[in-house]
Amino acid sequence: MGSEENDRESVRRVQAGETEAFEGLIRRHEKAIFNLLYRWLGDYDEAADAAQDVFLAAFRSLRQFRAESRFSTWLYRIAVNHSKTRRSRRAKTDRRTVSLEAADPERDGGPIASIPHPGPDPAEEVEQREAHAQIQQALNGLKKGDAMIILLHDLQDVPYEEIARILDIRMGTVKSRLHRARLALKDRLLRQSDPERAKR
Amino acid sequence: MNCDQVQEKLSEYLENALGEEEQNGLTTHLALCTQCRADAEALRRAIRSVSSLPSVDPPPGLSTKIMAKIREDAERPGLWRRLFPSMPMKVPLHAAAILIIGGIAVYLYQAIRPLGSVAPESGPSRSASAPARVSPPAEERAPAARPKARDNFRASPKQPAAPPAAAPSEGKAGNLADKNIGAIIPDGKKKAEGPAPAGRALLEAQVATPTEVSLFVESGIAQGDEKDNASLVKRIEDLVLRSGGRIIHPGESEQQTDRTLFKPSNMIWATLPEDHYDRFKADLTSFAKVSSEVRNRPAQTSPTAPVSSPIHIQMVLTPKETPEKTVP
Repeated sequence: MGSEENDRESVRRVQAGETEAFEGLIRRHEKAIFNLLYRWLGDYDEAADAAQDVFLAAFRSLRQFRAESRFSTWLYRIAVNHSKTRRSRRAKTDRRTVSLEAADPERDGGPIASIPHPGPDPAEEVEQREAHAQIQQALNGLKKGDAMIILLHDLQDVPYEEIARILDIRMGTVKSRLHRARLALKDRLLRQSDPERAKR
Repeated sequence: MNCDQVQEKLSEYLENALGEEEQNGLTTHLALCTQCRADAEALRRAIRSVSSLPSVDPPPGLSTKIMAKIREDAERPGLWRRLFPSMPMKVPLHAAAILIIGGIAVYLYQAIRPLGSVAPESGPSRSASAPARVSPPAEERAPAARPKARDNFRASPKQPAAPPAAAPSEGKAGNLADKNIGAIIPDGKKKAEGPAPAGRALLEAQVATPTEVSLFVESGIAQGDEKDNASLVKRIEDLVLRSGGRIIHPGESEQQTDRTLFKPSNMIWATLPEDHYDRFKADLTSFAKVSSEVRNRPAQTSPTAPVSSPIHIQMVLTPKETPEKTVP
């Protein structure tokens, strides 16, 4: 995540009318926002569309941004609200049920596929991709609030205080919700890996 | 610590976010409790599974695409400017709005404002005209007044009662409606002589005028036999006297106008205390048929108006078949 100082300066310039200064904000936060959206929506193309909408919304409402919170916190909040709207508009039988055959940037020649994976064994790579797909599937099956808080904390490493501001809830509520979401994820992963054991 | 308490704290335990004492307590419990230890391990794997998800690069050119949209958005005028494009004259819109609102307010005010002070009544206009309409000498007016009074009585059952005339003075003509009754029935009260009072004085004078009632009594005889009315007339006059009233005879009015010198034979003029009228009328109907009643009650707006002023009654005996024919 881009530095806070740079963000403040870019915001100041954009608010003064310097539209091009917004590009710096995009470059510093594009990947984090995209990943959050991708893991939550479960679809690569949709995450790209959503990311465009999020940044456009941020630009339009930048006039209302006050430096009382970090720009990243404010941007995350826009992303969370926008993705909730998007998700609720989608049909229930949508593409969020990620199958192992679904488009996966790790597998299908996307940008990440060109990055050499740590493990030299191709079988291991396949196994890893399958594991990731199962995790993504488990995330897709969680309640939207549970998935979002797990992604913010466990995927994006957003501190509890920032999550509280993003979701507009108390710190204690963040911790309890996160714990419940993790337990739910744990149960799903157990059911996926060992259905018999999950029943016990 | 029991298993439930441990389960609640597992997330924070795994993050080393608990206090030292609590952290140690969980460690001890997990060492001893197989189930909680298995749950803690499963939870740890779930957390790591999410954190181990690889970071995915956005599509190439995404930031360029976003900036292109932003530049387009920045150049596009906002809703305000789309609705109100720049005008040749730099007229502030809020000033125009104020003018429009002001114009609407003026229009509404004009439409709903009161109609202004109305003349107390038509009296002032009458009074204003009365002096101009100073009547010719009484001798000249009387003949004209007579037929009009008859005409009025013929039609009067269907006409609304006209307001009483202004204080009839010797030279006052009054309007046609006033002649309906006031021209025939002499006022029992002494009226001021001279030109009719104007404005408020006229109104107060009218208020002081007693109620005048015209009763049309079916004589029970055919037209043309008026002489047989005498017995009915006698009975009615007796009733008037018994009711505390009195009969007014021609010439009795202090004004001594020619109008009062003539009274058709089928008419009875009387005056009666107002609070006796209802009883009088009830008694009258016991032996005669009252075909219609025209009451002319002046507006009692003046606080000085008498509470129970005398009521002037004009009784017109009408032929049997045609009750509206009143004057031979």
